[in-house]
Amino acid sequence: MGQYRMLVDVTKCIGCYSCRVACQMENDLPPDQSYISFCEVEKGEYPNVEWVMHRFSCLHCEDAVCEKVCPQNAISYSQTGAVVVDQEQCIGCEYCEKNCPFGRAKVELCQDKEGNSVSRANKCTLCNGKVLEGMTPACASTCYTEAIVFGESDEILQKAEQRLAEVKDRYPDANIYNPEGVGGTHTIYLLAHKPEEYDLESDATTPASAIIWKDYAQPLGKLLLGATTMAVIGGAISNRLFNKGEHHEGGE
Amino acid sequence: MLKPVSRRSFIKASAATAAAVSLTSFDMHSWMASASADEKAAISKIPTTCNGCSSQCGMIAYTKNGRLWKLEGHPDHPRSKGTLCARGHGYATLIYSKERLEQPMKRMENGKYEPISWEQAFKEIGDKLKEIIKEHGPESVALVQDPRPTGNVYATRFIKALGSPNYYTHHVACNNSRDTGFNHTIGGVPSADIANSSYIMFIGRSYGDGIRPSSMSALAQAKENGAKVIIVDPRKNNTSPFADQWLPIRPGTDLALVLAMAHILIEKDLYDAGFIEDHATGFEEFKKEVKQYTPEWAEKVTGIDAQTIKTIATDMAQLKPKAVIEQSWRGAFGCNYKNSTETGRAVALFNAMLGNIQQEGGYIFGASAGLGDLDPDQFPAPQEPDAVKDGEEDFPLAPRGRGVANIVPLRAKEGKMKAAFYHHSNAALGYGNPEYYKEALNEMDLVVTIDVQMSETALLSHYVLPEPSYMERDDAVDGVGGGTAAVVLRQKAVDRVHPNTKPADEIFTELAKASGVGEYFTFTLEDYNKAAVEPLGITMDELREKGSIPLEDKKAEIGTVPEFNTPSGKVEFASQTFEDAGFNAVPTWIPPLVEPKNGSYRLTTGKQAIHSHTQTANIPMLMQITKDYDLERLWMNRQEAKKKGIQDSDLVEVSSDSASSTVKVKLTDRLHPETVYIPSHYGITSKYLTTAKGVGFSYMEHVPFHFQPMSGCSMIHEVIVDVRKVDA
Ligand code: SF4
Ligand code: SF4
Ligand code: SF4
Repeated sequence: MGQYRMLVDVTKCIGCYSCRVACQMENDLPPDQSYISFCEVEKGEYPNVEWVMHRFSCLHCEDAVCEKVCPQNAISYSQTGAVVVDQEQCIGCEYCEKNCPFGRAKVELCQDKEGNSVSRANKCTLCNGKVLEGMTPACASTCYTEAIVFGESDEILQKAEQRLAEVKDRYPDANIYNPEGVGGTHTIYLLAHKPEEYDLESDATTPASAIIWKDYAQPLGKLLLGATTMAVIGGAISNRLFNKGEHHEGGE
Repeated sequence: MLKPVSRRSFIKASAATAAAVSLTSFDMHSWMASASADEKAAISKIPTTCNGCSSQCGMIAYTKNGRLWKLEGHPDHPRSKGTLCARGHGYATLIYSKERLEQPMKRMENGKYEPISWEQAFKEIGDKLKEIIKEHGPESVALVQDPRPTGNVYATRFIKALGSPNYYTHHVACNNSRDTGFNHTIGGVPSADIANSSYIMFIGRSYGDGIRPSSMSALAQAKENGAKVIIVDPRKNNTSPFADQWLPIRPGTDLALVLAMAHILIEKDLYDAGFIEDHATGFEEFKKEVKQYTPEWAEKVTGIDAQTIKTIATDMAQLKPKAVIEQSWRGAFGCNYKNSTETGRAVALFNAMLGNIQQEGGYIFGASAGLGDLDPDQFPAPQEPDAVKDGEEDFPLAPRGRGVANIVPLRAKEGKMKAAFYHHSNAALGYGNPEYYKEALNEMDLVVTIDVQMSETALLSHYVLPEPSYMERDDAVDGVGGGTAAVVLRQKAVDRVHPNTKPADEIFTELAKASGVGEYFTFTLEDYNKAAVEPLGITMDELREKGSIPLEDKKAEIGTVPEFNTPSGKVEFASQTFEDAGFNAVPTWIPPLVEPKNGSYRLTTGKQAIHSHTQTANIPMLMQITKDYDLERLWMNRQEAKKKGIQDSDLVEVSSDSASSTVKVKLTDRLHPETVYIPSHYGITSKYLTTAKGVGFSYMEHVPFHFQPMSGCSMIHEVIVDVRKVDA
């Protein structure tokens, strides 16, 4: 386990979008691209209605599918716990995007140093650079309600348990989303309702096929056929083997 | 094996950029590219203040090679306390907007705007102004602004120097009704000590929508301490995650709720009798009046059951003085209904009955910074004009300093107001009915707008004078009152992108000279700033370095009830001033001006956390959020929509006596069935603001041009609309 963890407590989110914009500024993203998405859940009928805003970004899995499927080894684990993309290695093949169980890795148009438009994988970095310099991620440091908190792995897990106990009265279905199937995650969510309400799978897992691909087929294939050929073959295999349905996002 | 990860070496290009759809997006991107491409960029941190809303939070601007990179909340500023809202982060990108005003513009004969030189602008405006004053007197000139530090010093001095009393502020469409109520009962508007309160009721005000970071964190803290939080609002607003109970009140009936709560305190003898005895007048009269306002009566008016009203009033009394009805801002009674001033009085008085004034967890009158001013011997100040401010006779109760800004178009139509200056104010879309404003401003001989973008008001002006954005200029030193007062400075974080813009201090100085009153403007902004910090024992160098400095010797005194700023020096449960103005001495139930019936709805409005008024709508960083999540939609109660065969995201037509608008609908169970709700930031019509134009509609188009009788406010919620599905 890496050192750090982030907790997103949806029961404290007021849907103000400050984290989104702080993140865009921090990471030089243009207005129409964001590492954070929002989905609102309204339950019940007037006037007995609960409203919850789910602020969602990359989970930084311990056994990250994206890391396993990347034919370029462009995705790696930082000692902070973050799963990060090295965009100089990335070739924009979209395996990560197609296989992320949470729809978080996205291949989008980027500009390289020469100003050329290129397709590159892009997602939340858990503010890796900032954290390595001893600072808090931009989103966590701007959230006045402390819906986003960041800290030492174990402390954050404890904090999550404590918050879960506090909110159980109001949200009986509340749970901590830290799926074991992907080895646990470095961004965990305190959800007010069952994961399905937020379009999340309770049992999200790293598919065995991805493990086989990463740990056996790919190294072997590279040895026999060379890296580029393997990347092309991988495209077909990867799509067929681990392709997921479209992830739904939206709401307000 | 973990491997060290390099910093990002690529940056994203927007999809829109590639398709060259949005020019603004492209340009936004290229500044970012140059800000971040060089990893060894020279990074500077400049403390300054946000202009995303009136809170003007302190912030730290980070620049890379002289270009803005990002912002953080200033830890020492009383309103940001280290965090910023989305506007705080995103509005600053205004610097690089391609739709800024870049040079002075003049409206030509053919109605088109053409660039002119500053010399020409000043000369022509000055000459015209002199001519108007000569012919119609200085009372035919007005100045309107949404006040900011430099404007507070220069614009007020300018209009005074011209000999005109007609200075007005944007509060006519904000919180003047509330302030009128508070001023005449408890002598001002204190702030609730949220963090230390045990029981907090919000009426209309939503910390989660109209964000001030420190308020939101105070509420989070109060919740952590176990406070009970009630929101009274026809809409289950975005503060609701922090509320224990939502009272979906019938819009416009908050006054009845508060009167009934006062009734309970009296009936059950639960009020702070000692406080009333020592610090109040007129309580007996008030008692007599509220006898009729039983919870059962209030239930019929508000739709909130009598038992709930009783329980809440009783619980609050039990926890007093750490129980409070938060003072609100625009919320439900800032300028919304015919009865809003009375709601303001009732709220202030209910708090007084809880004896919470200047008590921990109650209402606190903050300390003020006590800034210095220019030495009048060195820099003579203009005299107070003899004439009375226009509107003061019609609305004698309204806050004097701020006036009733909608008097200006009224008098323009009457042919009495001939010239108007609008500074940092989009009055023509934001203060009153836009059609009315258009007709009225077209009647005037001289309209001048000073702004950063071509707003709807600018488009009704003869001259448009461009300011640099707030990130590119120094402003006057400002004092922030509060528990601990602070002195703050907005200062230039990046060089001016458009060299031909001028800050307000220079504009007003030059305008004064051109109008023949230059003798009152012989000082510089730096002279003023030095004079402002002088009594604080702080130097400008220090303030420049720190940006926000808390004044530890200027703290609110807690526990001691102050002398109230009212004629009697006490809390006025009965007000002679009100009686003299032709109203009841004690707060009295007044029904809203209009009522929905037969499937029609009251149109209500409010803030979203990502926008301020209409000023942020053209900022791609913020407007994109609206577009991503369809935030411009009209909210409608799900059951009501069903009756009309309307489904989520259907296109609907909203029509009132004043206008008809088409918009997508958002169905929700978070809304009272009698109202439809529209966020207040949309409906930009200026063709110079292409990011914003065409998104949503402006509620103000539906608001008739009318005046709240006590405060002169715009009564923005006194509008009935029909909603029908538009066939595709
Ligand atoms: S800053 Fe905090 S409260 Fe605001 S949207 Fe993000 S997580 Fe929610
Ligand atoms: S951790 Fe950093 S990169 Fe990730 S969402 Fe937060 S601000 Fe953005
Ligand atoms: S509340 Fe937001 S917009 Fe207003 S001053 Fe503070 S950061 Fe800026």
